[in-house]
Amino acid sequence: MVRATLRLLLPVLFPSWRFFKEVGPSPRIEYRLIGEANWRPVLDWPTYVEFPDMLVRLFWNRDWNDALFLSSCAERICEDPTPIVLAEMNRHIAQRVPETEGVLQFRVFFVTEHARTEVEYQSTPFSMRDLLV
Amino acid sequence: MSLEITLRLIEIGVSLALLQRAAEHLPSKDQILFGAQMVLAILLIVGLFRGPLIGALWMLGVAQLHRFDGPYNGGADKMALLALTCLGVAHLFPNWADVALAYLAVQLIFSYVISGGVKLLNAEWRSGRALCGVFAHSVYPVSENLRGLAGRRKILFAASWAVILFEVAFPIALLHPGVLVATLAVAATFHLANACLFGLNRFLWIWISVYPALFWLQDRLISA
Repeated sequence: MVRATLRLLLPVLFPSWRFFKEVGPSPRIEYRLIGEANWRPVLDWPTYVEFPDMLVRLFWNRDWNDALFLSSCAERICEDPTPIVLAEMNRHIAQRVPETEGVLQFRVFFVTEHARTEVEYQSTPFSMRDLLV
Repeated sequence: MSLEITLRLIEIGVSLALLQRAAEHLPSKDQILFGAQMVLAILLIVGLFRGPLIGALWMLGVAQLHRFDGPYNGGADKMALLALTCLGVAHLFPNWADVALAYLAVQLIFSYVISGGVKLLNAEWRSGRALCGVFAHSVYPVSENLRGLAGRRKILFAASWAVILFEVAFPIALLHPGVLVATLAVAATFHLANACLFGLNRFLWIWISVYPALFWLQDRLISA
């Protein structure tokens, strides 16, 4: 417990502050219902956000922050698929997709401006039951 | 600006930032963790039992680190917990309060200077290609139409250098009170733009909440 706390706390007390040090390939997450062939994107971007909506989002941006968290989990799961990160991805994906029941699977790949990588992580199927809280 | 006023302003600012952040987590399975944070933040704004409340908020922050196996919202969460740590030290060890506040101010300066320094050392940033990549394929642009900015190479080249130079030159702001006010106005506008374009709203609130530490540090440096 102490070691885990120190591992989490030391980067907070002595932060590196290297924001956007590099702009590398960016994660994309797709999901499918088991039994279906088509993979669909978990996150989608609106075509346009009106300026008043941008102002509202200064104070209430839950969905977007959730999407950024999910994207950071996607990067982490390709490097180190810990049970906590996997559980968070399962839960957040189950809550974001329009389906409300069934067995889901997700995969992660990365994109650059002109290319996309092979699938770098593919989850084992999981039931949506118990995740939609 | 006195030490006490500075600490109080930061307490109120951080509490408001934590309120905004915690509200976004309700309702969810984490509502106890974040609901408690909201209650404690409101009580800290009121100003009673400040030391114990800061301690409780700090422990909740650590619990949230465990909950998500790291910061939920990257640098914004780090700055919030760092500020709570420094406030906690200032209340727990009054003789070390100025050291704690100075540490927070220095970390705030580092957050700009180091961020600008790593960009300056990166050829992709110096050429403007990195910022093109942010708009072209990163997860950050809040809408598809913003991705079209990736093609505006000259604008992004100029924007890249504006960000790099501003961040690297940030410590110059400490030389004069008027320069500090102007610099922090630009910095807050920078965070506002990041919030509008990239949805990084939590960074805006937590960063400006610790700005009083810089005014206090400047007072100390000028009077020394």
